[in-house]
Amino acid sequence: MPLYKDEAIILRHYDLGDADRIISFFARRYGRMRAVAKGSRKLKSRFAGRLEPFHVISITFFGRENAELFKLSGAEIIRAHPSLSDNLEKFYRACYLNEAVETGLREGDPNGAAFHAVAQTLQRLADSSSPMEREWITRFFDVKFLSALGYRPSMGHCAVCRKEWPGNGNPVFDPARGGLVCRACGGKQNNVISLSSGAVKFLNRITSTGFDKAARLKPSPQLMDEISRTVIAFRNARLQTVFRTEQLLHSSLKE
Amino acid sequence: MESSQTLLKLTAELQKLPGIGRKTAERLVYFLLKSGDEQVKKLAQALDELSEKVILCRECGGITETDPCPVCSSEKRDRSLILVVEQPLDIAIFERTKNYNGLYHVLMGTLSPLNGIGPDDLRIGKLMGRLEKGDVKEVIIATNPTMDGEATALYISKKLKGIDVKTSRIARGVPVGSDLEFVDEITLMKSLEGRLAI
Ligand SMILES: [Zn+2]
Ligand SMILES: [Zn+2]
Repeated sequence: MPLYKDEAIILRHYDLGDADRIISFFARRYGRMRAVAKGSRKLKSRFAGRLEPFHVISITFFGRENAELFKLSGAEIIRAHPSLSDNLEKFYRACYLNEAVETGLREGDPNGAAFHAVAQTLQRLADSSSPMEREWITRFFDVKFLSALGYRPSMGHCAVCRKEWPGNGNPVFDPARGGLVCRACGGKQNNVISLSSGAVKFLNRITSTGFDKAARLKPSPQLMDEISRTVIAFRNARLQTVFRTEQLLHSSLKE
Repeated sequence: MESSQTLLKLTAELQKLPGIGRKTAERLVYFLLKSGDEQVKKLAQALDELSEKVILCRECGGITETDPCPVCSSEKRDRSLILVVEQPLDIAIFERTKNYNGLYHVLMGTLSPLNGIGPDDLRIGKLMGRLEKGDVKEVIIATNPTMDGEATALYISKKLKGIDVKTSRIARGVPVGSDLEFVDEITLMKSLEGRLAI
């Protein structure tokens, strides 16, 4: 049976039998997978403490090619983010990243760009210092993660006719059609979002900025409102799911 | 085994138990068939009694045959202390230490956003109700030191901020009798944070 070695982010685990766990993880080269970690709930297990959500680990696992469930044989921590459970809002947001991976990626579909987005965002959330900053980090993640899945919002061109956006007029964003929509293509339908030209410029900038320069972008509070609304509507139109972690985040922010 | 609906039904029920797949379930059924009437009746009776007599204590959520449970109704227990645990079986684990004399409170799980479990799915409201009586001076949170367990501890400690009660968390650190070489980095870090003067 082939042995696989990779870098992976732990998504979650659930109990199996008396002492084992099934680990759901996202590997850089192999994609999202699941593996049994034998004895991992025992105190003396070599896995103990190494398989918690959000850990970035060096992983070895084995199994048949295209197996549904692999067997874990090794795990060493590369990066851990214990501070993610020091603050509930951070924790729910980190959980949201993992839910996005489980929702957006099929098992066994490799996606290095999505892996990069999750790994970078976990680090940024761990280092973050305010709810506003974290909202921005989360929405930046959405754009990068969705782009990695092939859903990059069309911000420089009309999403329908591809004509370059003129840079004036009242920009209209159509989540269902995946971006800005010009007047000729019917930017007057329901469920569209009217954007300020500032928001258009900013969203356009996000789509072309990598994580290395992400920290330099900082939207103002009003701009952040527009960006959140637009990105979430875009995400919902693409992924078509209700995120449980997002509901929990909202109810915790209200408390 | 194809013809017997009874066998299929039992196999299907056994498969719902954690850690039991189809093969194990079939093996258990064959074992019961071979072991004779008396063994089967004893098992059936024990299962009957389980559903009839064993309940969860309405106060602490522990497993009991009397409600409230012996711990909750005991005169000898320290009523100013509540130890919060994830599962009813965790109570037995602390009882085995013979070193804890307070009361318990079972949450019935932890926050687990990815498994769809939020604060409303846990017995946190019930805990708040027990604290309202004012007898409790300290709540010790003994959820597992997993990411979900830590988040749950944090959630409860925030909830208790407005109430005049001391909140503590069980210490995390190096297991007794272990070799430091085999302890993971996070546990070592937590053991440094939680170090004690000697
Ligand atoms: Zn157009
Ligand atoms: Zn009780």
